[in-house]
Amino acid sequence: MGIGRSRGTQDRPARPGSGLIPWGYLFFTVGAALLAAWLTGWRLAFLVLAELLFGLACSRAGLRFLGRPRFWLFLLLAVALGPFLLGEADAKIGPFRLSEAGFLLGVAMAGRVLALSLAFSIGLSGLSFSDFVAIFDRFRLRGLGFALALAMNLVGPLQEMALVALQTLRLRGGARRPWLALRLFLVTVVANTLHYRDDLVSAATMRAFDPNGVRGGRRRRLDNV
Amino acid sequence: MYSYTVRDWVTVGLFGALWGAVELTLGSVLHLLFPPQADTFLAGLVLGGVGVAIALTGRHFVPRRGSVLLIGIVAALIKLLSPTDAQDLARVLGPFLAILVESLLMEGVLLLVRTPRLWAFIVGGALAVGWNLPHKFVMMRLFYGRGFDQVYQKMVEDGAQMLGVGLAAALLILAILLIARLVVGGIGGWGAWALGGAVARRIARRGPAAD
Repeated sequence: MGIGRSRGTQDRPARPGSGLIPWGYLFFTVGAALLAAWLTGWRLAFLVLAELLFGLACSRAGLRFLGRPRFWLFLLLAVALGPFLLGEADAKIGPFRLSEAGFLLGVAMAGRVLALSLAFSIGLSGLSFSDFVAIFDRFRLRGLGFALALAMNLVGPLQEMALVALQTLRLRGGARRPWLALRLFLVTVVANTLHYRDDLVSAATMRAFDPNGVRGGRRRRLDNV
Repeated sequence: MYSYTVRDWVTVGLFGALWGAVELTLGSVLHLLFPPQADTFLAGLVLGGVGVAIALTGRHFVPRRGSVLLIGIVAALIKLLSPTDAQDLARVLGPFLAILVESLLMEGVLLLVRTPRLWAFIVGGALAVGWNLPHKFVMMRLFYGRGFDQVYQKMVEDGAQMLGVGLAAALLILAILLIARLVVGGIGGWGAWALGGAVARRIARRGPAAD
């Protein structure tokens, strides 16, 4: 299954140079997200630092969003609005009445957003569709992994099929009777989607795919015998 | 879930892909056409309505427990891991959670009813799209923490004062937004019931190869 972001296929090993397995990225994401939601103050700052170090060591692609001005603008907005909107105003700078507590709360909010963004960005940049399929397989959800892989490979063809149906209806005067055209479009898209099904079921059956089986299960049983 | 056949899993994958394709294409178009502020009011409403219709239509062809939730999981993962959208985390994480909660709500209603009925599709669809309204606040609370509650309260108070209306008017606006979502979701559920039935009849007329 050759799917996933900037990662390899079955023939080509994924993540060259990175020793972390998909489980590592998954645990990192879940753990870091939970800690980001729980920690406050300096502890949150240490978490951000730890995430940055982890990202530098294991997944630099996950840190790319830090180079975008839009992200920093988003963070600075949270910090800048804090003194105006939060807490009691206890300081005056020029014509503005500001709150120190509001400023600190704004910084805390921005820190939390940064920690959560790092957790998900680093984790997701290290995980591909193939990894998710493998994880579902490990949890004995082989059918769900199969459905996900199949869906990922069919997004493009389905988009194209819908576009062809739309253009066909438009060229045949669909705009003059929009409700009928919409109904025909929806029926065509769903019917064509289901037409893929028979071919896919045949292909999976011919390869003796068992959605409830475990990969390599039979061999293990024989070994035990 | 172990009672699912290969045909069921293929159908789940296909309808998940269809929902995911709509999120990727229509979602991108709507985000380009309208400013981010319109996400809550328009983009979420349209995408939610279409997504609900697709997932519930899928239920017609996989009439088993959990099928709507599984379609939602597939669509959510497509959205989360898609190469085009994965760059902007805020735009991916929100829809990911929204799709999961929407499918969970639809599945919950269908589980309670057991045998599929039109009213269950309508109620499930309405609840799912209705989630769009609290979703924005839940996400903000999740992202920003307790500070967001104070920001929101202050903004509502200041906004009401600026417009010269009471706090009750702000609640009225929220109620209207919620009702609009429930109506769109209900229409999505009803449309899915009608569409699923129409396609099933059409395929049945053609031959025994399909359902």
